[in-house]
Amino acid sequence: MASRRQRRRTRALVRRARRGNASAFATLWDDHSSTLRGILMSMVHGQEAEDLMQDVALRAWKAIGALEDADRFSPWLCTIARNVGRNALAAKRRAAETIAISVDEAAEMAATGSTPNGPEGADEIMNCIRELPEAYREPLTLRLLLDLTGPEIAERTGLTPGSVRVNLCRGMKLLRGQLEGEGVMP
Amino acid sequence: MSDGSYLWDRTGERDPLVDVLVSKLASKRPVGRRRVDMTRWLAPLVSAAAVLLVVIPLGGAEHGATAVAPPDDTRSEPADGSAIVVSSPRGTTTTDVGGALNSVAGEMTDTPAAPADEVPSDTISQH
Repeated sequence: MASRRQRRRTRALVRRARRGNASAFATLWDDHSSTLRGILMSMVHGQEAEDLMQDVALRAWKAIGALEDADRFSPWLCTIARNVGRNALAAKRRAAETIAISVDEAAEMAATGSTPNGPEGADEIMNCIRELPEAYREPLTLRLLLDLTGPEIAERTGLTPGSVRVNLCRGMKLLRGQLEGEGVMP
Repeated sequence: MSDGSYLWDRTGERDPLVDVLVSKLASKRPVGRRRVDMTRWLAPLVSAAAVLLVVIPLGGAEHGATAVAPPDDTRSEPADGSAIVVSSPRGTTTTDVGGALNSVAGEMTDTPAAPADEVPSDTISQH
Protein backbone atom coordinates (compact mmCIF):
# COMPACT_ATOMS: atom_id res chain seq x y z
CA MET A 1 0.00 0.00 0.00
CA ALA A 2 1.17 3.53 -0.74
CA SER A 3 2.51 5.32 2.32
CA ARG A 4 1.46 8.84 3.25
CA ARG A 5 4.83 10.04 2.05
CA GLN A 6 4.31 8.41 -1.36
CA ARG A 7 0.87 9.96 -1.63
CA ARG A 8 2.27 13.38 -0.80
CA ARG A 9 4.98 12.91 -3.40
CA THR A 10 2.40 11.91 -6.03
CA ARG A 11 0.23 14.93 -5.20
CA ALA A 12 3.20 17.27 -5.61
CA LEU A 13 4.19 15.66 -8.92
CA VAL A 14 0.63 15.89 -10.22
CA ARG A 15 0.48 19.58 -9.34
CA ARG A 16 3.74 20.19 -11.23
CA ALA A 17 2.60 18.09 -14.20
CA ARG A 18 -0.65 20.07 -14.32
CA ARG A 19 1.40 23.22 -14.68
CA GLY A 20 3.05 21.66 -17.72
CA ASN A 21 6.18 20.17 -16.17
CA ALA A 22 7.06 17.29 -18.49
CA SER A 23 9.67 15.77 -16.20
CA ALA A 24 7.17 15.54 -13.31
CA PHE A 25 4.79 13.78 -15.68
CA ALA A 26 7.55 11.38 -16.78
CA THR A 27 8.25 10.49 -13.14
CA LEU A 28 4.56 9.84 -12.51
CA TRP A 29 4.51 7.75 -15.63
CA ASP A 30 7.39 5.61 -14.42
CA ASP A 31 5.61 5.04 -11.12
CA HIS A 32 2.38 3.85 -12.73
CA SER A 33 3.41 2.27 -16.02
CA SER A 34 3.51 -1.35 -14.82
CA THR A 35 -0.11 -1.19 -13.64
CA LEU A 36 -1.20 0.44 -16.90
CA ARG A 37 0.67 -2.16 -18.92
CA GLY A 38 -1.08 -4.87 -16.89
CA ILE A 39 -4.48 -3.35 -17.62
CA LEU A 40 -3.74 -3.18 -21.34
CA MET A 41 -2.34 -6.71 -21.35
CA SER A 42 -5.63 -7.92 -19.90
CA MET A 43 -7.19 -6.76 -23.17
CA VAL A 44 -4.57 -7.12 -25.91
CA HIS A 45 -1.30 -8.95 -26.58
CA GLY A 46 2.03 -7.73 -25.26
CA GLN A 47 3.40 -5.76 -28.20
CA GLU A 48 0.06 -4.14 -28.92
CA ALA A 49 -0.21 -3.20 -25.27
CA GLU A 50 3.19 -1.57 -25.57
CA ASP A 51 2.00 0.51 -28.54
CA LEU A 52 -1.16 1.52 -26.72
CA MET A 53 0.93 2.75 -23.79
CA GLN A 54 2.04 5.63 -26.00
CA ASP A 55 -1.58 6.61 -26.61
CA VAL A 56 -2.33 6.46 -22.90
CA ALA A 57 0.64 8.73 -22.16
CA LEU A 58 -0.35 11.24 -24.80
CA ARG A 59 -3.98 11.40 -23.66
CA ALA A 60 -3.01 11.69 -20.02
CA TRP A 61 -0.51 14.46 -20.74
CA LYS A 62 -3.04 16.42 -22.75
CA ALA A 63 -5.80 16.03 -20.17
CA ILE A 64 -3.94 16.25 -16.87
CA GLY A 65 -4.83 19.92 -16.56
CA ALA A 66 -8.46 18.87 -16.21
CA LEU A 67 -7.74 16.50 -13.32
CA GLU A 68 -9.03 18.26 -10.22
CA ASP A 69 -8.26 15.79 -7.46
CA ALA A 70 -4.58 14.85 -7.41
CA ASP A 71 -5.37 11.92 -5.09
CA ARG A 72 -7.37 10.34 -7.91
CA PHE A 73 -4.45 10.40 -10.32
CA SER A 74 -3.84 6.64 -10.33
CA PRO A 75 -7.49 5.60 -10.88
CA TRP A 76 -7.84 8.39 -13.46
CA LEU A 77 -4.84 7.03 -15.36
CA CYS A 78 -6.21 3.47 -15.15
CA THR A 79 -9.49 4.66 -16.64
CA ILE A 80 -7.65 6.25 -19.56
CA ALA A 81 -5.81 2.94 -20.12
CA ARG A 82 -9.12 1.05 -20.01
CA ASN A 83 -10.68 3.41 -22.53
CA VAL A 84 -7.69 3.18 -24.85
CA GLY A 85 -7.82 -0.62 -24.61
CA ARG A 86 -11.56 -0.69 -25.28
CA ASN A 87 -11.16 1.60 -28.28
CA ALA A 88 -8.43 -0.67 -29.66
CA LEU A 89 -10.62 -3.74 -29.21
CA ALA A 90 -13.54 -1.97 -30.91
CA ALA A 91 -11.28 -1.00 -33.83
CA LYS A 92 -10.13 -4.60 -34.10
CA ARG A 93 -13.71 -5.83 -34.19
CA ARG A 94 -14.50 -3.37 -36.95
CA ALA A 95 -11.44 -4.48 -38.90
CA ALA A 96 -12.38 -8.14 -38.44
CA GLU A 97 -15.72 -7.46 -40.05
CA THR A 98 -14.04 -6.27 -43.21
CA ILE A 99 -10.91 -8.43 -43.33
CA ALA A 100 -11.65 -12.09 -42.82
CA ILE A 101 -8.81 -14.57 -42.65
CA SER A 102 -9.62 -17.58 -44.76
CA VAL A 103 -10.17 -20.89 -43.02
CA ASP A 104 -7.18 -22.37 -44.85
CA GLU A 105 -4.95 -19.55 -43.73
CA ALA A 106 -6.06 -19.91 -40.13
CA ALA A 107 -5.52 -23.67 -40.28
CA GLU A 108 -2.04 -23.12 -41.69
CA MET A 109 -1.19 -20.68 -38.90
CA ALA A 110 -2.33 -23.20 -36.33
CA ALA A 111 -0.36 -26.02 -37.99
CA THR A 112 2.88 -24.03 -38.22
CA GLY A 113 2.44 -22.62 -34.75
CA SER A 114 2.86 -19.09 -36.01
CA THR A 115 0.90 -17.76 -33.06
CA PRO A 116 3.53 -16.40 -30.69
CA ASN A 117 3.87 -18.51 -27.62
CA GLY A 118 5.74 -17.76 -24.44
CA PRO A 119 7.49 -20.29 -22.25
CA GLU A 120 5.40 -22.92 -20.52
CA GLY A 121 2.01 -21.81 -21.81
CA ALA A 122 2.10 -18.24 -20.52
CA ASP A 123 0.46 -17.01 -23.71
CA GLU A 124 -2.31 -19.59 -23.46
CA ILE A 125 -2.98 -18.53 -19.89
CA MET A 126 -3.14 -14.86 -20.91
CA ASN A 127 -5.46 -15.78 -23.78
CA CYS A 128 -7.77 -17.58 -21.37
CA ILE A 129 -7.80 -14.53 -19.09
CA ARG A 130 -8.61 -12.24 -22.04
CA GLU A 131 -11.62 -14.41 -22.85
CA LEU A 132 -13.14 -13.78 -19.41
CA PRO A 133 -15.79 -11.09 -18.90
CA GLU A 134 -14.25 -7.63 -18.67
CA ALA A 135 -14.99 -7.21 -14.97
CA TYR A 136 -12.83 -10.24 -14.12
CA ARG A 137 -10.05 -9.76 -16.68
CA GLU A 138 -8.40 -6.73 -15.19
CA PRO A 139 -8.21 -7.67 -11.49
CA LEU A 140 -7.14 -11.19 -12.38
CA THR A 141 -4.38 -9.92 -14.70
CA LEU A 142 -3.10 -7.51 -12.06
CA ARG A 143 -3.20 -10.29 -9.45
CA LEU A 144 -1.58 -13.04 -11.51
CA LEU A 145 0.61 -11.14 -13.95
CA LEU A 146 1.85 -8.34 -11.68
CA ASP A 147 1.45 -10.39 -8.47
CA LEU A 148 -0.37 -7.54 -6.73
CA THR A 149 -2.64 -8.26 -3.77
CA GLY A 150 -6.33 -7.40 -3.84
CA PRO A 151 -5.93 -4.30 -1.64
CA GLU A 152 -3.13 -3.05 -3.92
CA ILE A 153 -5.30 -3.57 -6.99
CA ALA A 154 -8.15 -1.63 -5.37
CA GLU A 155 -5.85 1.23 -4.46
CA ARG A 156 -4.28 1.53 -7.89
CA THR A 157 -7.41 1.13 -9.96
CA GLY A 158 -9.85 3.05 -7.77
CA LEU A 159 -12.21 0.07 -7.68
CA THR A 160 -13.74 -0.76 -4.30
CA PRO A 161 -12.02 -3.53 -2.34
CA GLY A 162 -15.34 -5.39 -2.22
CA SER A 163 -15.76 -5.47 -5.98
CA VAL A 164 -12.12 -6.45 -6.54
CA ARG A 165 -12.47 -9.32 -4.09
CA VAL A 166 -15.67 -10.60 -5.65
CA ASN A 167 -14.36 -10.25 -9.19
CA LEU A 168 -11.10 -11.99 -8.30
CA CYS A 169 -12.95 -14.97 -6.81
CA ARG A 170 -15.47 -15.27 -9.62
CA GLY A 171 -12.85 -14.71 -12.29
CA MET A 172 -10.55 -17.31 -10.78
CA LYS A 173 -13.36 -19.83 -10.69
CA LEU A 174 -14.10 -19.25 -14.37
CA LEU A 175 -10.40 -19.31 -15.27
CA ARG A 176 -9.89 -22.57 -13.43
CA GLY A 177 -12.63 -24.20 -15.46
CA GLN A 178 -11.38 -22.68 -18.68
CA LEU A 179 -7.77 -23.81 -18.15
CA GLU A 180 -8.93 -27.34 -17.39
CA GLY A 181 -11.21 -27.32 -20.42
CA GLU A 182 -8.46 -26.11 -22.73
CA GLY A 183 -6.00 -28.56 -21.23
CA VAL A 184 -3.56 -25.76 -20.49
CA MET A 185 -3.12 -26.78 -16.89
CA PRO A 186 -2.70 -30.37 -15.68
CA MET B 1 -11.41 -25.61 -1.93
CA SER B 2 -9.74 -22.31 -1.01
CA ASP B 3 -11.84 -19.57 0.63
CA GLY B 4 -10.28 -16.95 -1.62
CA SER B 5 -8.12 -15.33 1.06
CA TYR B 6 -4.95 -16.47 -0.62
CA LEU B 7 -6.08 -15.00 -3.91
CA TRP B 8 -7.04 -11.77 -2.12
CA ASP B 9 -3.99 -11.04 0.00
CA ARG B 10 -1.84 -14.17 0.10
CA THR B 11 -3.15 -15.18 3.49
CA GLY B 12 -5.14 -18.25 4.55
CA GLU B 13 -5.08 -21.58 2.82
CA ARG B 14 -2.64 -21.71 -0.05
CA ASP B 15 -4.11 -22.07 -3.53
CA PRO B 16 -1.56 -24.00 -5.61
CA LEU B 17 -3.12 -22.91 -8.90
CA VAL B 18 -2.61 -19.24 -8.02
CA ASP B 19 1.07 -19.90 -7.30
CA VAL B 20 1.51 -21.85 -10.53
CA LEU B 21 -0.17 -19.12 -12.62
CA VAL B 22 1.84 -16.34 -10.97
CA SER B 23 5.08 -18.19 -11.61
CA LYS B 24 4.18 -19.04 -15.21
CA LEU B 25 3.13 -15.48 -15.98
CA ALA B 26 6.29 -14.08 -14.41
CA SER B 27 7.91 -14.38 -17.84
CA LYS B 28 5.30 -11.95 -19.19
CA ARG B 29 5.52 -9.52 -16.30
CA PRO B 30 6.43 -5.98 -17.30
CA VAL B 31 9.87 -5.42 -15.81
CA GLY B 32 11.86 -2.29 -15.10
CA ARG B 33 10.88 1.17 -15.95
CA ARG B 34 10.41 1.58 -19.63
CA ARG B 35 10.08 5.23 -20.38
CA VAL B 36 7.46 6.37 -22.77
CA ASP B 37 8.83 7.41 -26.15
CA MET B 38 9.01 11.11 -25.38
CA THR B 39 9.97 12.00 -28.95
CA ARG B 40 6.62 10.79 -30.22
CA TRP B 41 4.46 13.07 -28.13
CA LEU B 42 6.88 15.89 -27.48
CA ALA B 43 7.54 16.43 -31.19
CA PRO B 44 4.50 18.73 -31.62
CA LEU B 45 5.65 20.72 -28.59
CA VAL B 46 9.13 21.16 -30.01
CA SER B 47 7.59 22.42 -33.27
CA ALA B 48 5.45 24.85 -31.32
CA ALA B 49 8.49 26.02 -29.37
CA ALA B 50 10.29 26.67 -32.66
CA VAL B 51 7.35 28.81 -33.78
CA LEU B 52 7.54 30.69 -30.48
CA LEU B 53 11.22 31.41 -31.01
CA VAL B 54 10.33 33.14 -34.25
CA VAL B 55 7.30 34.93 -32.83
CA ILE B 56 8.96 36.24 -29.61
CA PRO B 57 11.55 38.46 -31.37
CA LEU B 58 8.92 39.69 -33.81
CA GLY B 59 6.72 40.64 -30.86
CA GLY B 60 9.13 43.50 -30.18
CA ALA B 61 7.86 45.17 -33.35
CA GLU B 62 4.72 46.14 -31.50
CA HIS B 63 6.79 48.39 -29.26
CA GLY B 64 8.23 50.65 -31.93
CA ALA B 65 10.83 48.40 -33.47
CA THR B 66 10.54 47.11 -37.00
CA ALA B 67 9.64 43.49 -37.60
CA VAL B 68 12.73 43.01 -39.75
CA ALA B 69 15.91 42.85 -37.70
CA PRO B 70 18.40 45.66 -38.30
CA PRO B 71 21.32 44.70 -40.50
CA ASP B 72 23.82 44.84 -37.65
CA ASP B 73 21.95 42.24 -35.65
CA THR B 74 24.10 39.27 -34.81
CA ARG B 75 22.44 36.04 -33.84
CA SER B 76 24.29 33.15 -32.33
CA GLU B 77 23.06 29.71 -31.43
CA PRO B 78 24.97 27.74 -28.81
CA ALA B 79 26.11 24.26 -29.75
CA ASP B 80 24.00 22.62 -27.04
CA GLY B 81 20.88 24.20 -28.45
CA SER B 82 19.67 25.11 -24.97
CA ALA B 83 19.25 28.79 -25.64
CA ILE B 84 19.06 31.17 -28.52
CA VAL B 85 20.91 34.43 -27.96
CA VAL B 86 19.84 37.42 -29.99
CA SER B 87 22.20 40.40 -29.89
CA SER B 88 21.07 43.71 -31.26
CA PRO B 89 21.64 47.41 -30.67
CA ARG B 90 18.60 47.30 -28.39
CA GLY B 91 20.32 44.87 -26.07
CA THR B 92 20.66 41.14 -25.68
CA THR B 93 17.70 38.82 -25.29
CA THR B 94 18.02 35.21 -24.27
CA THR B 95 15.21 32.79 -25.00
CA ASP B 96 15.26 29.58 -23.01
CA VAL B 97 14.03 26.70 -25.18
CA GLY B 98 13.14 24.62 -22.13
CA GLY B 99 11.09 27.50 -20.76
CA ALA B 100 9.34 27.91 -24.08
CA LEU B 101 8.57 24.19 -24.11
CA ASN B 102 7.11 24.40 -20.67
CA SER B 103 5.01 27.39 -21.58
CA VAL B 104 3.66 25.58 -24.63
CA ALA B 105 3.00 22.55 -22.49
CA GLY B 106 1.15 24.83 -20.10
CA GLU B 107 -1.02 26.06 -22.91
CA MET B 108 -1.77 22.48 -23.91
CA THR B 109 -3.19 21.71 -20.50
CA ASP B 110 -5.64 24.54 -20.95
CA THR B 111 -7.18 22.91 -23.97
CA PRO B 112 -10.63 21.47 -23.30
CA ALA B 113 -10.75 17.88 -22.20
CA ALA B 114 -11.49 15.25 -24.81
CA PRO B 115 -14.98 13.73 -25.05
CA ALA B 116 -16.19 11.87 -22.01
CA ASP B 117 -15.73 8.46 -23.59
CA GLU B 118 -12.05 9.09 -24.15
CA VAL B 119 -10.85 10.98 -21.11
CA PRO B 120 -12.34 10.18 -17.76
CA SER B 121 -13.37 12.58 -15.09
CA ASP B 122 -12.13 12.11 -11.57
CA THR B 123 -14.94 9.74 -10.78
CA ILE B 124 -14.39 6.15 -11.76
CA SER B 125 -17.27 3.95 -12.62
CA GLN B 126 -17.27 0.64 -10.90
CA HIS B 127 -17.37 -2.55 -12.84
